[in-house]
Amino acid sequence: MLDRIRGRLRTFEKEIVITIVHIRGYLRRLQRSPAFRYLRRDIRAKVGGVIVLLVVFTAIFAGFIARHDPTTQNLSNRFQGPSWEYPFGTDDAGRDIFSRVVYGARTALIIGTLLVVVQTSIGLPLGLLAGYRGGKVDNLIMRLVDAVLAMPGLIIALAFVAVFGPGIYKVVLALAITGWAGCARLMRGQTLAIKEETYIEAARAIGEKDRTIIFNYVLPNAISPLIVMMTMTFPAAILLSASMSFLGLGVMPPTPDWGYDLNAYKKFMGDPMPAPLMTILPGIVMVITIFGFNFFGDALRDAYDPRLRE
Amino acid sequence: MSEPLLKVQGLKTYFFLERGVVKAVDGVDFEIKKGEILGLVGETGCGKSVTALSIMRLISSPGKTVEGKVIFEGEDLLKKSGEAMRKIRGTKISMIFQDPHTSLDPVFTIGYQIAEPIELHQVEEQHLISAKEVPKKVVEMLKLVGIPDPDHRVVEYPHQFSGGMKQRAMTAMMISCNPSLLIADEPTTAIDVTIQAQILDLMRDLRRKLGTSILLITHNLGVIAEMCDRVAVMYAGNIVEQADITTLFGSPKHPYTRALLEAVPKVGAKRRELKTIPGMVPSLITPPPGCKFHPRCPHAMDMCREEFPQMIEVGKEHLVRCYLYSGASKK
Repeated sequence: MLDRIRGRLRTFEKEIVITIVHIRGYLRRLQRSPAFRYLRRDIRAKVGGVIVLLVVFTAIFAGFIARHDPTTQNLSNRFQGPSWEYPFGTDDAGRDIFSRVVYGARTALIIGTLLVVVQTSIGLPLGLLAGYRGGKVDNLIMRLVDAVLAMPGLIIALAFVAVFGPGIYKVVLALAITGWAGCARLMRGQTLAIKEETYIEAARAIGEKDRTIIFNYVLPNAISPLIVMMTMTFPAAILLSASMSFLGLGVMPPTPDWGYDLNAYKKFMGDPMPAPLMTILPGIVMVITIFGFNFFGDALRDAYDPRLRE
Repeated sequence: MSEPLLKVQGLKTYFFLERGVVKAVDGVDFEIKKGEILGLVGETGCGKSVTALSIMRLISSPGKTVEGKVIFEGEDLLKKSGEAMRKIRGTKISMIFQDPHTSLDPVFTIGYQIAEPIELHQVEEQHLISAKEVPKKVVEMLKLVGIPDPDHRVVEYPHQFSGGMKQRAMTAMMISCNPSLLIADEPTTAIDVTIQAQILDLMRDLRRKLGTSILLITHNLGVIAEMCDRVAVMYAGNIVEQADITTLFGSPKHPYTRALLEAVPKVGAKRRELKTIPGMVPSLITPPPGCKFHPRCPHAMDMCREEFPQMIEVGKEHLVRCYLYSGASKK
């Protein structure tokens, strides 16, 4: 019995080691790849990458970075200006604005990640299917995509939230209603091009199943524009969800959210109680974040497109 | 006489386009015996590759094989289910493509790709070998096709291989399950002349070692002369002449075959302008009536313009589709 457990553990250990070796090999290959070498020289990639890493780090370690609880109110401490204790000051309920911004990064990234996952898992298989099968299936899926792309995304999302109520997950779903279409269209185009490659014909000539061809031959060759698209989805998701919260139909109050805060603080922009820094500082953080993601995405796109590399 | 390995009868593959039906293959008959190399020659666009793809049932929309039989080892492939056909591809019939640079998937290693058909057919479907033996077999295959240092080259990617080596790797992938028929669609067109000879040697070797029949598609008559036992000449979707290699090169009958042979430059021949075949390959949507070659044929007669000629046997296993050799022309 014990031996068997030990044996199991040993094989498990071996598998872990193999996985690590695989990952190391992959990273090494990645480092040597022309795309990565390009990224290392590109200033946008450096600036964007640093910002992205900073935001991700902030989101993960929000609890250590924030010096106060983002939701605890302290009415005797309202409208403090920026200080060492409260870098961005405090708001009308005495909450630390900096802490709210830090935790807001977490909200923003959760929404971004979930949206990427949701819309990719809808758009990717549909696009692959449409491109690979062609004919009626293609027509059906692509007309649906056309129809979805003809709808104004933000309005549809607002309508969805208006019906089903606000909240992080509902915001993600609301944005995914229209978001998947672009992904599907991109994948279909890629699939159409790759499908004509001789190695796909060769795969069919050795008797591969359609399923294997789609996932083992087409997908790995179509992945780079998809990665770029996923990177570009992040800033869009952050901006859109912030817009929704700003309009009061996004993430709901106790959860710190950039859009909601901007909306809540905008009444202090001018008279009767001018405290413009309350809005401006979180606003700048948000702009820089989106800027960083876009920068990084742009560089990534160029890195994957050899024609733009020179 | 033993039953041929592959017998193609009245094969018709059409492409249904908006501007009309392209009759790419319009009634093709031929057979390949066990261990034989049959050459299929013809100009670009005469239906050679479509014939090959029809045999493999790899024609995709808007193309369709509308008629005919492809009898392989006694069974009609055109009547098989998709799943049964998939199992035949790669195991019994496989195909080498023209351009080795695009026939290998750039994102996987050579070894991974050669392992693919072995894993798929021999491990999963036929249980001939266990999964553990696959890497060994892959290296063996690479050795068989003459790739130096196979132990190290298996883990390399296609871009690290030269054209000739890619074609070898491709061949290794295609013969890994010992097919009885190998279709080689212009296997030497995209590679260097010096390497061409090596690839052809390799194919001849395979025939000798494994007894594989080969359908060699090419427009290079030199390759045909070098390799084949028998030749079929194709023109605009039909086979116009079929004979064994010495007969065809020694006494070609069809005017098209003769013109083709004359268009080959010869080393040491007196300098003169190279002969060409006048005119253009006919449109396959609206082919000329009667014999499709008549607009370009120096011997065209009235009857060539009216009726499509049948195959006539002019010698032992020597077939020609031309009125010049039918009794009718003499009258």
